[in-house]
Amino acid sequence: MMPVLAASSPSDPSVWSDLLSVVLYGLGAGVGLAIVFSIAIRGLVTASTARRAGNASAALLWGGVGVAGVVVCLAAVVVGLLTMLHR
Amino acid sequence: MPSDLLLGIVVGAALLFDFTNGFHDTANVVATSISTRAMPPRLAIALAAILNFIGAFLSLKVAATIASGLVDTGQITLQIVFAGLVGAILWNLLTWWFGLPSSSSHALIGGVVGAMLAAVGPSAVDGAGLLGKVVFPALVAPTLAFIVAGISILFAYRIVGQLRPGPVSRGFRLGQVASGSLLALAHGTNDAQKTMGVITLALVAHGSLPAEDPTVPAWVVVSAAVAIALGTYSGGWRIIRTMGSKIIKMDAAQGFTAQGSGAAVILAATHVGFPLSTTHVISGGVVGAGAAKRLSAVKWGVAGNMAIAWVLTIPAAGLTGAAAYGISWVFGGGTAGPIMVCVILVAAIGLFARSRRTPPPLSPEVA
Repeated sequence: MMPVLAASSPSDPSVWSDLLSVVLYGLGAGVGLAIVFSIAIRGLVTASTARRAGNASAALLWGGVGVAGVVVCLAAVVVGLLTMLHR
Repeated sequence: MPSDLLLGIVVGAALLFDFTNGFHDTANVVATSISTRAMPPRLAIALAAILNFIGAFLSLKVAATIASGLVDTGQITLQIVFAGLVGAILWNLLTWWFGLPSSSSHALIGGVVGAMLAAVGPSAVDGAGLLGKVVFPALVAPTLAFIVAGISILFAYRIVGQLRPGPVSRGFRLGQVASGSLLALAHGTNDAQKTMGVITLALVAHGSLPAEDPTVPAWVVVSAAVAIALGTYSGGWRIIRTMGSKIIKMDAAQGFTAQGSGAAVILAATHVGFPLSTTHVISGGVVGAGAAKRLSAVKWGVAGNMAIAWVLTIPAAGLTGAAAYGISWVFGGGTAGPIMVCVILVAAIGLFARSRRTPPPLSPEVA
């Protein structure tokens, strides 16, 4: 029978450095995403409350924070898609 | 050269594995969204199936690394791959029956390693490779997701804690739709590759494709994508229940952080080129999001059963793979052996299904 899987070098030391990178990137991206998304929600909800209360400047400020948070999260989704495409 | 029939059997087994992979892992993508009512169950599953299908087309790097660095790949034959697939399929079915999320990739690796041990012996298995590429990542994946989700939910509660719960929940549910969609795409990309890899390599072994730089045929891509999407659409409800409501009672923020952390960890691993098990990551995230709120919020018994299933995955799939190879060998290997394994499996599953059927009510005469 012909072999069906190609050989590769075992116990490659890069495995451990890769794992360290995964830990650092995962921690940064995961916690960062949650913080930014929560800030986006806070911004949009507070802006809506301020608008109802007639406080236009606060509504504008918090709305800006919310929109910026949403934009950053959308950018993170795009980065995720690109990571999948270029893996 | 292996016979056309043997090739057909291996391709069939690979697609069946892909199907079980899909319905076994549906929970990873949809359980938290269903649990927090971010999406209705049927819509969540349909979306996950479509995105798994699309994901399978996103990258065509054949996953020839299923066993490389783990076993002496120069000695792997189609019979060994078939036996490994049988081990993986049976473990997926067993863990689904008990509603336990477990890694399909580990089941496949376990099956192939077990079949390899039976066929060639311990010298063909690289213990250091198994430790570095399977065991250590299996410890890192849930632990990392647990920590990321735990820290994330604490930040999230701190940031949105004083706000009205209604709009906040709606916001997190919307976030879940996005993170769940990313996860489904990533799952389709990663997991359909395994099946494409197995089928492509079977075609190489058969002589249908050149050994040097083989191109994945379009029908292989489409069939692997269809199998995983159909599997996903079938929905492994037992595992969805476990993941969605039996480990913790989730609110929308917890659902988002579990799923978002999972997506971030998996994509970080993809970026580095170090694939982690989606199941381990999401399960770790769910437990982390629950434990950070309140330790007693987690049903540790269920989480413990899940951990036991993870520990058992490789040995159990390995034993099954070894048994499948042994049966195949007893019946003369070649094409006849795998056929006999198929016959025995169909008969065993038929008997099991028959034994589980609800008995008819007693007739008036007997009663």
